[in-house]
Amino acid sequence: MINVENLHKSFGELEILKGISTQIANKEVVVVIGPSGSGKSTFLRCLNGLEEATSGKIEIAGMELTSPKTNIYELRQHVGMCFQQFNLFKHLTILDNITIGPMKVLKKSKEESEKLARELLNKVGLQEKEKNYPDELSGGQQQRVAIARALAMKPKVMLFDEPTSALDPEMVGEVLNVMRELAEEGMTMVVVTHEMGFAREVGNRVLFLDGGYLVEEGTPAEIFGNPKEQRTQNFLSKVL
Amino acid sequence: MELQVVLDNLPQILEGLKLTINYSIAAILLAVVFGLISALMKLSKSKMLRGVSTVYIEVFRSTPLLVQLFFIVFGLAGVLPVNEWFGQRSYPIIAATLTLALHEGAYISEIIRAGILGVDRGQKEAAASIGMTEFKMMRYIVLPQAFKRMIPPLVNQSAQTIKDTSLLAPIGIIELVYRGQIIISSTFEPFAIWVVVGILYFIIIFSVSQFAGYLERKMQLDKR
Repeated sequence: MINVENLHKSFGELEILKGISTQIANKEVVVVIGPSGSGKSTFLRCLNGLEEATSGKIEIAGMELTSPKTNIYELRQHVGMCFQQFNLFKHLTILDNITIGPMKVLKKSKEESEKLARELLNKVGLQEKEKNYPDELSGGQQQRVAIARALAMKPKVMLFDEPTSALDPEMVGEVLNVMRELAEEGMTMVVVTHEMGFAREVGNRVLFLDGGYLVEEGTPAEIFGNPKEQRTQNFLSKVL
Repeated sequence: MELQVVLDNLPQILEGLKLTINYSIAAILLAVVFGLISALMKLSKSKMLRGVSTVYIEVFRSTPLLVQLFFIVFGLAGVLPVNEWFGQRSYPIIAATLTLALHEGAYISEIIRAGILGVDRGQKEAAASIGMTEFKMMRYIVLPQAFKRMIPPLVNQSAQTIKDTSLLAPIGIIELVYRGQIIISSTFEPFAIWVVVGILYFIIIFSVSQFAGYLERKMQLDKR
């Protein structure tokens, strides 16, 4: 589903990603961990072209992102994303936040889009909030809407950029539950997170990034139980 | 009696006021169009479009409106057969309205640009992440949010535009000030007539800027 070869990304002189290669299979849930500044968010943002790779090759959802011939807008329809700050469209109701993608990008009818949006709201447990505006919802509710908004595009892959980092502790669980459900339904997911419990329980594979390198990857049991690299051990000893 | 003079000429004064309002509305509407185009050009990736927009904004903001009006209405007519193209009577009116709109548009361009830049980057990224093109992102996400923010300064600029229409008088276009001068030249009552003209401007411009203030306060309560 995703193939990354020797991905480099620099911002001016500063090289953030120093050659990352990995493959992610269909229905796999991959959790990316690492210290702040390790490049994990940049890595994720390269996967849907929010950041343009400096060099290297990325294939995702059957398209080659790094090829200049690829229509990036079409590619992004197949790659959903959730942000740390939710980024719900402030001027739109919850329902409109979800329908705007299907209606304006996929050109579906209003009726069809609203039906889908209500199903998705139901799925994330917020059907009664459809007429509210984002700022009337709690952080956890907003993030669940953001997940529904991304799912409305029927993506093949979902990217999560620290989806629970901006949340009050009591709201983390409701978001992780929705993500867990999504994983159980077989969604291919790449999740940048500090939630080690989620990584261990839901992840099929863990990538540990540090200093722009993919230092170590393996099953959660391997990474958390028996990390091979010194840097992984140091990081885990601080966060666990 | 001065009051009698005012009352006798009131229909004509109000006719002048109506023209002032018409020119103001036409100029503001056109200025928003010019301002939007210029703002989008200035935010575009093309160096040439940015350059054209910058030259436009700086030229119109750094020269007096009266000079711009003289230049376009009379200056151009000296080198181009514009009077033949548009008609001897229509050309000054069309040219003056467009000049006024271009002048206000230069300021509105900066208001719109600031509004667009004020929209949170995360909103654009979210729009991009669901596959929106730059155009759709502008149309459905950025501009609706930016316009809300821009309404108070735009209303203020409208008040400024109403004031600026008084500069149409020196180039011979009939509006409130010109009408006042005509009435004074036949009645010899400058004091009473200028008081009335001043009061009429004040009522309209004060209401508009009060409305801008109201919108601003309302926006602070309603952060969406």
